[in-house]
Amino acid sequence: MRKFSGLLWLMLMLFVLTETLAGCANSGVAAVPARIGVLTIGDSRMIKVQGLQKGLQELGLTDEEVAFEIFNAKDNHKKLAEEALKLLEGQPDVIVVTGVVEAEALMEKLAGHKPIPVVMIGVTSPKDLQLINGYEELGIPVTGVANGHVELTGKRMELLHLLFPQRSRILLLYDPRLRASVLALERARHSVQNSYSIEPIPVSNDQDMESFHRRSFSARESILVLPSYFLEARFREIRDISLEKRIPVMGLYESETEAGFTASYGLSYFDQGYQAARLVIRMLKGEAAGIPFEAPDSVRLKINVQAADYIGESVSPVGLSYGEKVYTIKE
Amino acid sequence: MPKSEIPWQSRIKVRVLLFGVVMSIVPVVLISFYYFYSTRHNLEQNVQIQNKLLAEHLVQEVDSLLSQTEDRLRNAYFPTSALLQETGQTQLYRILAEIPMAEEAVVLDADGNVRQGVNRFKIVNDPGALKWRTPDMLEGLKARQVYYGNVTFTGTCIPFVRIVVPYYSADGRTFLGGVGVQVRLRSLLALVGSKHIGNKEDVFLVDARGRLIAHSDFTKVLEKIDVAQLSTVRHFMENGNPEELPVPNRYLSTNGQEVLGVYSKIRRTGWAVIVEQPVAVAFASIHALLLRLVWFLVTIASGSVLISIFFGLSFTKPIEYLERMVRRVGRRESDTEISLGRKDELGHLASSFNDMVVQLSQQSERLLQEKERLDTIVHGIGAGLALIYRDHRVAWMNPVLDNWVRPGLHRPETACYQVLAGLGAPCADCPLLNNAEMPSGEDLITALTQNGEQRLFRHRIYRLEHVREDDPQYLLVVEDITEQRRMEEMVMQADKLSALGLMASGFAHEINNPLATIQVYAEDLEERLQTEQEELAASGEITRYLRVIRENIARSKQITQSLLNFSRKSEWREEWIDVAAVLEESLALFKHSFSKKGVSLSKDWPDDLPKVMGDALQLMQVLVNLLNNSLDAVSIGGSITVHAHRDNAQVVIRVADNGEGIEEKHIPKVFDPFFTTKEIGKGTGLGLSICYGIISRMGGAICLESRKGLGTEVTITLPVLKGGSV
Repeated sequence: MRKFSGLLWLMLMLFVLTETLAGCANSGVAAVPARIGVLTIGDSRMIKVQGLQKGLQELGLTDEEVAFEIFNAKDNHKKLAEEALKLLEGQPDVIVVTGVVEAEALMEKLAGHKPIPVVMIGVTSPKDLQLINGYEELGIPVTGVANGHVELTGKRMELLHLLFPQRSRILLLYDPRLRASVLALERARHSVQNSYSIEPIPVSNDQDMESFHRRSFSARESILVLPSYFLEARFREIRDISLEKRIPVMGLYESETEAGFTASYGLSYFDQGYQAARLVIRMLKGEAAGIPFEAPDSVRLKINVQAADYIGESVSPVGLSYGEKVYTIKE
Repeated sequence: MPKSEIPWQSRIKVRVLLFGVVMSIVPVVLISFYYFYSTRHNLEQNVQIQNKLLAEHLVQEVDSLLSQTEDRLRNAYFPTSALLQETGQTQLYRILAEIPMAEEAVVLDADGNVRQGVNRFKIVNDPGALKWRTPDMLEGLKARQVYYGNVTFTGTCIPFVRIVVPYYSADGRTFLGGVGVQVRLRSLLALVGSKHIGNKEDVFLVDARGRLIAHSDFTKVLEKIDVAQLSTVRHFMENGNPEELPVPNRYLSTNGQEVLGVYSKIRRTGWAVIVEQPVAVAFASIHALLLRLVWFLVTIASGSVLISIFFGLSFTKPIEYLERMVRRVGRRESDTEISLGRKDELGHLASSFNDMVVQLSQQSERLLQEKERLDTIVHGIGAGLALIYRDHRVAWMNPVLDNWVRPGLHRPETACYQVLAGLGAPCADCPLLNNAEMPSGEDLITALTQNGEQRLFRHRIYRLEHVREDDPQYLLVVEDITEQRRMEEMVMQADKLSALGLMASGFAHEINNPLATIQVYAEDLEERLQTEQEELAASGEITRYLRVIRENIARSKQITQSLLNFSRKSEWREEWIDVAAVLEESLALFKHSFSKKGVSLSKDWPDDLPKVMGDALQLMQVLVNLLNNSLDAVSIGGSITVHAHRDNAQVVIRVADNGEGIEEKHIPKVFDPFFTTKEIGKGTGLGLSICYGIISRMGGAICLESRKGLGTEVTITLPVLKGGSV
């Protein structure tokens, strides 16, 4: 009888084991989440990450299936290199960089590390800036969404002039340290029309910004901000100058318009991240080879009517017919 | 058969296990897989229908979007005056604002040249440099038809199409040109399908040439994926009727995945919306169902195995326990008692088994007692017993017989004829030779010489019922009748002497008569020889005298010879008997007695009376006894009749008299030994009893009929064996 009981217990244990295995097979063992390492220069570009997360979510990737590891340099260019190194040492499945400066910082640290696919969100002219070639030469699969800032420079100047026709001189704020900013300036010079003139103003540090602040502005002038992470990060100071000096300013992103810029024209940070979600998924699936960069899908003209009123300007009918109005000035 | 010798597939527990598993799984498997395949088939159809509905819906959305685009272009107002150029520019920018996918908006003059235009991404410094005019466009516009250009790809592989609506004067009579937009198709699906296109299917647009112009994953467009060879796209280009797509329409898509594809045509542009759903995705639910089914089957199988093992063990354990107990019973272990502690059938079986063990024990004890009793009987019966096979081999014999048979012959497998008679072949009259199935109970006499003394054994063979094929089939009962035969012979001899005593005076008279004749003739011859010797010799009288003397001497000799024959003590000797001669010889002994008493004798038998097998002297004793009885019974002047004849296979001899007869009450006892109705001193009471024994020994029968005062008739029948004919 003891032998019989032992056999029965053995059978019961086998049954439980079988059921456990069958249950595991049925429910599916939770897969290890894909790790996405994000390198960003500062908080302002985290909106791109939010757009990416939203896009991934809508494409079916749940929070359990992806894990984000954010490496934020907090607008410190030196720290960015350190964060890039940390990110590479973490060996995520895919690396996402939120702009040109992050892409360049990462590229400098790639040597000696395992090749990891890279997706760039909202980079300016990656081909012209040798970003694509640079990564490919290192054997790193790379793709991303271009923000089209350089290409849109002429159109921005045209629209700024259309919005405020009496402003016949456009002050171009650019960062001479950044190739993207310089490229945009070149494009501006190439696209300038007879109906207005341009004046490049280099701003790459606090002193430049202070100097610009102290500048005396005329009623014929308007400001166009060219692509620069430094200028993006100092958008509140530029807004304040605009409002203080009563001079219209056009930025690159709708977030700047909502913050008090008179207008902006471009693809939003959020949309850039959202558009990049599909590319990230393809990288995660291992389809890394030869994925082309994508241009901005759609650009929008945002006009802050309240800011325009504040500086005493009225927006032209042509501008109003094309732009989307914003009525708030956020801090 | 020990448990270990039972093949595993024959064990009950294995069969119960198999039965449980098969009966629990097979129906579930059959039903489940039927349901699975039915569901899969239905799902394929439903997926295709759903995808088709999605494609048709997207077509409607695209068509609606294009229709709205056309309406928006028709509703634009463009003054012809150059002074109002700003108004036109405002209108064009509004068009760009209201048509998100529009990249460029233009106003064409009546010649098809771009009069004014704006671009979302570029500065348009020289509208005239924009090349929109095509020959077919102008013809269509003039015919008030909306123009859709061919899909064109930019240098960065972004497809676009130009849509132009005709622009007439306010009265509608004058063709002024057209208003057009250049639409990026990239965002077309995002605009119309964002709410409907999930991440489980691929949706893309192809133009009439099968080129990929939009895709839910736009990267595919940038990668210039060739979709023209896909089954669905080919069907669109070659057939054009999506209703004629095969169901299910499965094929390998460009990414190597097996997909279910459908399409729907956009009639406004001649494009098609293709919906491809990976089979793995479409059947994810059915695969999940299959997985659950497998899990369910594993669960059922595990449970069934467990339950089957449990019940198999619960069935077989008691059975194995019972088997062990049965073996103990077989080993006659007295303390065998089964206790299963169950109240089911097995518990009842155990209880019944215990009862059976008790009964077996009691019966075994009774059998032992019976065996002991039988052994006592068999050993003390005084008769020899043997069990023999049909082929005469002796299987067993009791000690009595064992002592009788010849030393050295008592060993197994020895034939009975060797054991009992020392013969090399079965006895000629052995019943097993004649009819092995039904041996007669006829006595067989065998003589054996033991220590120089011949002994007689009578044996009978009895067939045993209810024996197995390889068991002895016959019981041989052997009796030592040596002493019995001696006694019988002594009695018969005494009976003869008695008869001789009775017939002594007759014999004396019978002999005296020829002796007197001889004396007379001898004296007369003596006298005449003294007186006339020569005349007697010459006449031959002497010869006549001598002949008479010789004849009377011969007669006396015959009488004395008959007397000697009758009185001789002899052993039984089988021979062919001439019945008529025996009759004559017997009657010769009574010739004087009959004449003295004045009894008339009547003889009647044919000359060809057949011979019978037996002892002639014994038969003569029978006839003498019968004639003696008749002579005693008849009165002076009575008659005795001796008659014999053949009746088929037997000889019938009748001895009848008309004497005083026998009382009816004495008739049943007449053959009993020592029974007599004669006066004391005249009879021994053994005569008829001996007659009965002799006739029986010869295989015949004897019967007596008598009526008081009328006479008695005794009838003897003797078998005529083959070879007994005269």
